[in-house]
Amino acid sequence: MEKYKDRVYNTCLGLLHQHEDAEDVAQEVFIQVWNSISDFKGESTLTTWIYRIAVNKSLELIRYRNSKKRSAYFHSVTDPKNKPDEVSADDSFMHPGIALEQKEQAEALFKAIDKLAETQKVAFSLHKIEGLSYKQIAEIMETSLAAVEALMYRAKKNLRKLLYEYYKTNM
Amino acid sequence: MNKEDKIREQVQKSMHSLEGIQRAKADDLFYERLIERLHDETEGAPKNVDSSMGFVLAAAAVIILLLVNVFTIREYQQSYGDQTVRQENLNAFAKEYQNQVKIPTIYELNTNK
Repeated sequence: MEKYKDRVYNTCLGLLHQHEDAEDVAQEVFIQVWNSISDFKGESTLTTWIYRIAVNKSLELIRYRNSKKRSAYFHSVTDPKNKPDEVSADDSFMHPGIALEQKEQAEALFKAIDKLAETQKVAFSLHKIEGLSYKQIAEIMETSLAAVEALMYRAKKNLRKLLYEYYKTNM
Repeated sequence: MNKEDKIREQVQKSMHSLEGIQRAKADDLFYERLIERLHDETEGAPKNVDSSMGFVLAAAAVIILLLVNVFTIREYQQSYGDQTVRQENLNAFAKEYQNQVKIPTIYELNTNK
């Protein structure tokens, strides 16, 4: 467990951008690993399997947050007394592994990453934050190497566009 | 450098801001919290019912169902019996009434005139 603890936590943090949620989800990952280790068929490596659980659990929480956000918005529209709940990711998220001199630029990048499509976000985060190769990402996402390359290409293109808009209004 | 160039430079800097990122480390108490949570989950989980106990419960359920069926059939037969008696009484009453009250036919009425 010691071997995977930080990998799982870092993966969850890279996707969730919220420390408490990342720890909660990381714990859920290990509980699932503990409960379903007998179901592990060895078709992939144990590392890939654990990463896959971490990604899926994180995405589940992101989807839950988004649905809460949508319903809060709907309630605020139908009843102005209802204020939306604070369920979104921390706006000023900063990854603890970022060098001090790059924090400002990284903050803008994390905001842009949050706006990416789910699969692009997963591929980009696993590659840039967890440092996994395209091949490993393809195994975790159960897709082809070419698909991951395409996802990364689109992610970078969209991020440039989002950052351009961000700096255009904030400079 | 004009504004457009500055924006493009910032975009490039941001795109490269994750280079050299260090892996985030989980809290020192992560392991203790996980063990506690696992412990809570196993404590809260329903204990497996003994297989022989399960058989006894299933047999008891079957017996109860059979008894309910027998009771329902007996009730039905009893009410059917009562209905037959009631029908017989009605028939007897109708027969008696027919004998006592004779309704004259049209020919009998004509001959009386």
